[in-house]
Amino acid sequence: METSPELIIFMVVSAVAILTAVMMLISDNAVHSALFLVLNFACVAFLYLMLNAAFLAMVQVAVYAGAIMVLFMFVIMLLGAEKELPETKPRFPWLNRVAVGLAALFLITATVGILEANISTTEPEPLAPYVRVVHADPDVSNLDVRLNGERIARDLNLYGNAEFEQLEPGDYTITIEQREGPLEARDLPVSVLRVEEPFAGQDVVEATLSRLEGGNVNPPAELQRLDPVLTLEGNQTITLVLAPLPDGGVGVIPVEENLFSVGNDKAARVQVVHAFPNLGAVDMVDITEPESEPIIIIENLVFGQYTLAETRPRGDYRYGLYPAGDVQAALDAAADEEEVTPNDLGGALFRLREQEFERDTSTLVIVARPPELDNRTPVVFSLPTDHIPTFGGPTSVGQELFTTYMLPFQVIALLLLVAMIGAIVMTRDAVPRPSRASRAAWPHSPAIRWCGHSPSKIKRPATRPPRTRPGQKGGYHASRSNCCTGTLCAVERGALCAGGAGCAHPAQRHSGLYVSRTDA
Amino acid sequence: MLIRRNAILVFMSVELMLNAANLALVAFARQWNAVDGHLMVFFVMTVAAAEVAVGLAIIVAIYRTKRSISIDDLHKFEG
Repeated sequence: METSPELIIFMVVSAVAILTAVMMLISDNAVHSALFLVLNFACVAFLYLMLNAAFLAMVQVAVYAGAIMVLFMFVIMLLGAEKELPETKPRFPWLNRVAVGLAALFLITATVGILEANISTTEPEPLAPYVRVVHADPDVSNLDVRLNGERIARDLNLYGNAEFEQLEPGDYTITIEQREGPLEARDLPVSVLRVEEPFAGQDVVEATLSRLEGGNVNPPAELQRLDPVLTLEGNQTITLVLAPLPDGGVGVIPVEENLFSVGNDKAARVQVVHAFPNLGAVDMVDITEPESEPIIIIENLVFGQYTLAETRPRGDYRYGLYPAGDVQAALDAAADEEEVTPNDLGGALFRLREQEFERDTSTLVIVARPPELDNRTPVVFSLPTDHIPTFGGPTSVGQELFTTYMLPFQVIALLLLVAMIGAIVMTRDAVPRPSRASRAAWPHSPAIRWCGHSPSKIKRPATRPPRTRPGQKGGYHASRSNCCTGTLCAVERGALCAGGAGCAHPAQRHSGLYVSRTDA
Repeated sequence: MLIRRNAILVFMSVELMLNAANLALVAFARQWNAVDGHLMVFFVMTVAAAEVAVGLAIIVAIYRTKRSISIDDLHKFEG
């Protein structure tokens, strides 16, 4: 395997990840362990990025390295638990060996599994190809399209399109059925059309122009009519454009589209397919700005041909479609604000309506035949398609989350809610609460008076008083408050210390003030 | 020597293991071109976050009653 920069980065990052994981396990100080774990999480986030999981990398940093580790650090420091506890006699001496054995077993299983599965370590599996059908054959009414018997379009209207279907890669035989009645269907002769040379040269233009003048309805000679077999490969997106054939059959133009994101918010993809058999080669001219020179963006597009996906800045466009080579007509049309006569074959054939190419979409413009045979004005319609969201990006994860995984998502949300409430309830019960009597007496009850001197003059004891244990007398209060001599103190001490957990005198929470009840 | 008695460290080790599983899931999701693996990782992360919140609350609660977070001391719960 050759050394690529990616491989070197991967090795360095994974080495750091393993190192920090080991350091986390063996360091004696829990704070150091937590910091190593943060570093480890950062490495894992980097590895996620290298695996095209941008969204998860983001979540990893925010949730793990941010929230969870802060919580860990907080608890470690709150409990003062950074030092490893002294060695005591382990209760399960065999546990160590069993754990090592299980880890070794897991490693062996994983290694054997990966080696046996014969996974390519450099290239990911290709995406299953997408297929859809566009009906642009006015000779046939509503029809069904099947690939190897599987129906991918049902009752398709003229100039309508079916949704994309995901199929396995392989060879598919295309059959097209015309609806004859509710239960009857008739198979139509189908052939796949393919233009051998995608962008034809000048001689072809002249040939098609002469055909245009002679009203020739035959497809250009370069067009190949093949058996109705479609070969699908991974990562492909194919739109099958159905076009009429002079002999009554249906021609299928397999247009390869590119639905992967442009990766640029300001760009859109445009493709044009020519599906009008008795129309010659056409040019497509950008006449968005009439004053400037018209830009020929597509030249000599003949029947059965389609342009490759072209990235253009998004925005509103005005396109004109003209007989190939007739740039002057385009110029005139651009200068002339009047509506162009549609059937004027010498001039502009058709002026596309103003069209917006939206960001991150692919638009397929189809030049189709109108239903009337003598009408030479092409029907031009377009199919904008949203791009497939980038793998692992927030959009793709979100789409999957809110469609397929909606129910588990809800369950997890409920679980989180229960966990939150559980944590609150648990910590609430753990905090000792003063007894009802002391709460009623504190702090503004007339039965309480301050102990002789003002709060600022009271000095805190220099040393921490010993804690009292449940059932233990004296200690805390006796050593601390010399003015707390009334009977209340005994009552309070008993009430508070019986809880055992905190044994906090209410006065302690109030700047060291001590109280006594005079009338008790 | 690798036996940890500190409950917080045990907790952090569990997080480490969850991350290892997550990394494997993401790698296989890339291999098979399926976002489902990412969703699984997302769920694991959310559950781990909830688990840490509750787990640390339990540790704090235990510390308040027993004054210790050694897992060897936890074999009997006595008020």
